[in-house]
Amino acid sequence: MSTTAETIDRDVEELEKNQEWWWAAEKKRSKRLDYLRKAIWKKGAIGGLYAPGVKADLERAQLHTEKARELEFSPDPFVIKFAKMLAHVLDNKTVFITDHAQLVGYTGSLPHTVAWDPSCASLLNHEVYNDPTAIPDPVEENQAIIEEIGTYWAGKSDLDKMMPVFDPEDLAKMLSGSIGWGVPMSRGGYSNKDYEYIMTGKRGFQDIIDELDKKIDELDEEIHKPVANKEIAEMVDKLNHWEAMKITLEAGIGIARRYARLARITAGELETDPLRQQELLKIAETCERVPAHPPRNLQESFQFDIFIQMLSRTEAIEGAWPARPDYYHGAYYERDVNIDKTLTPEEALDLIGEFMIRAAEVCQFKPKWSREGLQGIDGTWVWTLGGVDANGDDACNDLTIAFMKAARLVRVANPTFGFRWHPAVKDEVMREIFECLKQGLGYPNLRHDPILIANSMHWHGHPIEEARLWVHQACMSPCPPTKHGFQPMRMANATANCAKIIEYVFTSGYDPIVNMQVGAETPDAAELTDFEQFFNAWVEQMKAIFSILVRAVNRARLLAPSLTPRPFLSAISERCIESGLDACDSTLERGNAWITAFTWVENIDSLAAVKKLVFDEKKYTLGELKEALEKNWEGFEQMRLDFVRKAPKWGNDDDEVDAIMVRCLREAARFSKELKCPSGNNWPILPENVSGNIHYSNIVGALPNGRRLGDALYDGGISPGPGLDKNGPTAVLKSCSKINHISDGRAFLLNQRLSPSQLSGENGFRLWKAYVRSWADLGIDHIQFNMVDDKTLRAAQKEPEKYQEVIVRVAGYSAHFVDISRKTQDNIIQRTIQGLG
Amino acid sequence: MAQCKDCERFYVLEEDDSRGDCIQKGKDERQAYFYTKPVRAEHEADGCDSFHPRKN
Repeated sequence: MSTTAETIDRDVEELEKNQEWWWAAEKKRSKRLDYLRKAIWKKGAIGGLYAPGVKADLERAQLHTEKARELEFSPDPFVIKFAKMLAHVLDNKTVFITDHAQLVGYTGSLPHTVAWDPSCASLLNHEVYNDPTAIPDPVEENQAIIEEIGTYWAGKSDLDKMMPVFDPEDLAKMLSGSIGWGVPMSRGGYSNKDYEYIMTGKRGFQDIIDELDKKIDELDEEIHKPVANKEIAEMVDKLNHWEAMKITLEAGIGIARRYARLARITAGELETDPLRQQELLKIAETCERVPAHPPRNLQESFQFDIFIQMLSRTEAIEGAWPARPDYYHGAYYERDVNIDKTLTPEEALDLIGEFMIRAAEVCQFKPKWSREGLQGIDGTWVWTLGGVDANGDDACNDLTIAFMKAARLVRVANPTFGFRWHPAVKDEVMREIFECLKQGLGYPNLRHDPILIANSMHWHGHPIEEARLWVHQACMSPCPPTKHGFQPMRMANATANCAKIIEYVFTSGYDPIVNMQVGAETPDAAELTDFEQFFNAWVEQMKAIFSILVRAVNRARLLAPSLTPRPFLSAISERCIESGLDACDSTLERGNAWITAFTWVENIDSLAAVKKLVFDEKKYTLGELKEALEKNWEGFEQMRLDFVRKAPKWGNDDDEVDAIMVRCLREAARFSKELKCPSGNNWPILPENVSGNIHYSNIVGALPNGRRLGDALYDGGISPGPGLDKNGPTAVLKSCSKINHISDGRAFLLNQRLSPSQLSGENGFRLWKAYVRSWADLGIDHIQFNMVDDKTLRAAQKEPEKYQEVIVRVAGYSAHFVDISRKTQDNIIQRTIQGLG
Repeated sequence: MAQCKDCERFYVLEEDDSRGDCIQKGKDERQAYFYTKPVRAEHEADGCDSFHPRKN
């Protein structure tokens, strides 16, 4: 070993001993990965604003608008016009290849840009116009361009088209921002995909085009036979959808060829380094192969995937990244690294690390409320690892492990991994998970595979072979990436700010923050005489809020195929190729809807406090409590402290409060079966927060758990309130285990903080593994860990420039600690650090 | 009047000599890259800051 190498090794050892994992990773990764990692422009918003230097991409908006104007009076049906707009963007946008890169493809035109789709929503266009920090120089000139684009799309954007078709009362309540989050659009939310069709190496885009050509020819002939009936009338729509799908596939092949041409010209005429010339030629060969044809090796497989994601994100604003990379790319890793040995494990790690980096830099311009709710990241790219295959056998492979090794080298906060734990997962895989957590990544989180497979079958009736293939559709919800199982769009507005349920019990549904009647007009809380009456009012408010949000999504889903079609997503979906219908057509989908339940646990602690202090002990009356809440506890401090300290709190294995949690969930579960999606399936709830607990802190009024307006809300879906779990980690698990994780809801987010010093060494692994085993035995569907100590986090608050790369688990996603708001930082520090053993 | 086809950064498309790529080296504070944008061969280039006359 050379002296230099020894020095590097010693440095790494010392850094790791000091738990400065981010500096150690920098020394351990290859020069290529180091360059590419540092080349990332952080796109996650900081305090709701994009980072300095990150700018809205006007090029895409201009190209899209240019084509829309040109086609305005064309006789084409809308789906074909829309496909042509996408093709025009893809044919003409600027494309780039970063130095040292082996993979290509980005949603914007240049690395520092954030893609802006002006056709989605006028309210988004207004935000671009009003965000001078994101407008590229010269600001005044570009603001005029933005205004012109915004003016064109006013009344024509997806949301503008949808607005008039919603119930106006529901719309006003939804857009008040008090109970929901997001808007009901088929081009703005979380799109799962038919990976079993497109990612199994059986076909490329050209194969699908060939199939479409055949179908189009056959149908064309059928349509023009000398007869007329309803079926023939409907065939015209099919023909249009197929034509539109074909346009987007051809455009996808076209942009790949543009990358290939750039790489080939650069290699031949501009690049002087022979090694880099070879790499560029490899890029060219890769992009000439995929997505037109199925991949043949790991690089092509990753590139194929990137193109699919890039194209889908050109078509829609996608806030999530459902994926199962070890499952769908694993065979290529096995062949290249283990069988043919065309790649060394180190070369493969470079590719895997870069694949994660390409995902980390993806960004699309989103409204500020969305950026605030997802501080530090653009969307929740929770990639699924591990799990079982369709036969129920362990699906972990060498790529599962390699992804976790690569994650520790590149240390990006997005994507993260959700690991599907099951009893047959090998120890070597568990060690890799533990190592990621110990090194402070905050991921993978653990998902209980047997429970979630059963849950998918229970709630949505997915057959077991499909349920076993599930991926995270967003942060938490499982969804099979199969022909009839994949949900094309989970619209973000079915996200309920549940703390409003208990708040509205005291206001009879009137929202004092937005000054309107939002909830149900339940009786005056002061007049309620027993806990059952009080609880019934809670149920009415829960039903009112959930119904408003679900009605809007159902309406949007029904209209999506005609008003806001997804020709590219359809083109990579077997059911659409087969039927000629749009991916969002609910007749083709089994249904996989869920209501994300933000700020859920406040209800439990509040109900428990009311039960104990008002009805059981009769220390206070509901009238007094109502007055105290109206006054935000001002003048009622002693009473507030009673509600904080003398009422039982969720997460302490206290049967009384835990029973209230179960009762609330079961009421919601019962109602979930009355709520139906357009496919006729259920709407279970999924308690979790992203940064919603901070976003809503100024929107939710005072609550009976002692919280004041402005205080951060609890951080998890079923996590105890920060610092309120006093009885240790096993008590937390026991409380959570009283919930039936199959039938009481879709999934339940549990945050836990563990001490990194306690978990060092072999003993630390044993302790953690035993804890995981308890978690699994108790049948809990999810758990995520933070293992960064308070000292590091406080130091990062003090000197953020020195701790730029510290990652924490927020809730459902990870973020760099310095990129989240002070309030969120404090909230994470306040979480109880659990000692194990 | 200068046109894109007169620029050394213009790479004509083999299948259609009326169109081509404007390929340049870019650099920002985080990374360097090659980038391209499609242009028409006879597009006016007089006002283009990136125009570099082709050496014959």
